[in-house]
Amino acid sequence: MRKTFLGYARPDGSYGVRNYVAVISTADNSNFVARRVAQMIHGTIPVCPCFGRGEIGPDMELHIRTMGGIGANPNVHSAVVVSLEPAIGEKIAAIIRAAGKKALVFSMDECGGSIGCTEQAVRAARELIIEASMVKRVEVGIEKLRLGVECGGSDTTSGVVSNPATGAVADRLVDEGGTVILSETTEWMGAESNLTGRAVTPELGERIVKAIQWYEDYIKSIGVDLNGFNPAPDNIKGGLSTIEEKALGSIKKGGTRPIQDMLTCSQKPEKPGMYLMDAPTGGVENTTALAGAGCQLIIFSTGKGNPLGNPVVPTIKVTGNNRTMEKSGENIDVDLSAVITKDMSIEEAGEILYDRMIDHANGKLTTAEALGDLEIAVTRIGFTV
Amino acid sequence: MRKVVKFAPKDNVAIVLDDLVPDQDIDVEGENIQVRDEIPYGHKIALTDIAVGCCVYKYGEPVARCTHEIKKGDWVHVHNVESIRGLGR
Repeated sequence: MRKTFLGYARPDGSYGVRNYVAVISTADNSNFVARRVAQMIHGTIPVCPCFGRGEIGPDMELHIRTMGGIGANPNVHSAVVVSLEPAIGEKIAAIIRAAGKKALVFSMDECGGSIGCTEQAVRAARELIIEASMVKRVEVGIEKLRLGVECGGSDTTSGVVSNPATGAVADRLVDEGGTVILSETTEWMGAESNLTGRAVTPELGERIVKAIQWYEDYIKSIGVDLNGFNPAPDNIKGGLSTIEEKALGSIKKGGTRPIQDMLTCSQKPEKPGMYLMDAPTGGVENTTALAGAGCQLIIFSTGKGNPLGNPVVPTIKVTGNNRTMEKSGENIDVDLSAVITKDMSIEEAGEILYDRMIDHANGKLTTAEALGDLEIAVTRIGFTV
Repeated sequence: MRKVVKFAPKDNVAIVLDDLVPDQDIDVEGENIQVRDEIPYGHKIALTDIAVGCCVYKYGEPVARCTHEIKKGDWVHVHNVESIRGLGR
């Protein structure tokens, strides 16, 4: 078993598995500038949110924490931040600078509109990408990995093969001193006893139950049944009848180790170990929150298939469904269907997945990276005003 | 892996990892069950009769409540069970 990977050393002591210069748009109104800058400078990557303007209170805090967290992610070498006006850009840049990285802000207000802003940001991005190219990978212990575990397009095979195999990787990484984050609060509904039993304190167990209850109360308050929405139509087609059935399969990807704390979206854990993140279920929302919390890799378990990616965090797609491999295998990185079609054990499947995770940490492109899915979605709490 | 998988002793359903057809005989841990419906890959088969209002157990945990009478060998899914949680109607 390999216990090291090749990473890019960052000033805050973390190690990236990629070496991006991020072109971060502060809000939807600046996305077109960020995309044009990234198109002009090879190797830079645009990070473009929906919304970001007119948000207040906890919404704005989450937006800034997430966009800043993505820039501070170990996979990012440095960032160019483009903005309509400079104040919000500076708030996002401050988070990136606190991680010891360069973050240069260019606003349309101060740079002569979108054309002047694009021009100055392009010049800055050119300098940063050349600087980034001088950083070389070094061998570092696996304990430096912070792994997000996520699922999407779940079906029956998810709970039987790809989630338990992901859980085996999670356990192994935690045992080696690394960090794992399991999110998607709604998909813990019906699996409370497992999670509370692993919480390091009774108070944490109570917080977990309350977080799940919050979603259940919300569903009831708007007078709809969760069924049909979660499980979604593809989950139902894949054999999952209820949220409880889905949840009991879903939490298997978080393994079995003690749960240290429950984080909020884009909150970084302070020490290694196994964590929950109280975050909504949408796949892109979730991977965005995990990226904002500094995960360098996400293992993304799927049954029916799901192609989503992330601008700065590779999403390793794994399935145990042999029929999905036949139909849409080009969206899958790790095929564990031999558990179903042959006699492969979950333990063996976990070993394969762990080994492939190290390959992707060392630089092997995931299929979502090759196909270029760069979407993010920062969770919304209330309304814009 | 076996084509029909029961996860826990308490379970009254098993998952099928093949497409099953009516009148087919399957073996679940030494017990013969005659399939009564078409059951798609990845879906559930009833291992016992389940009365309306009773719980469906998978992984040894309650995962659904029966809404329409289920006979041993039936396909168990959204047409005859529903969630216990998250009902806002």
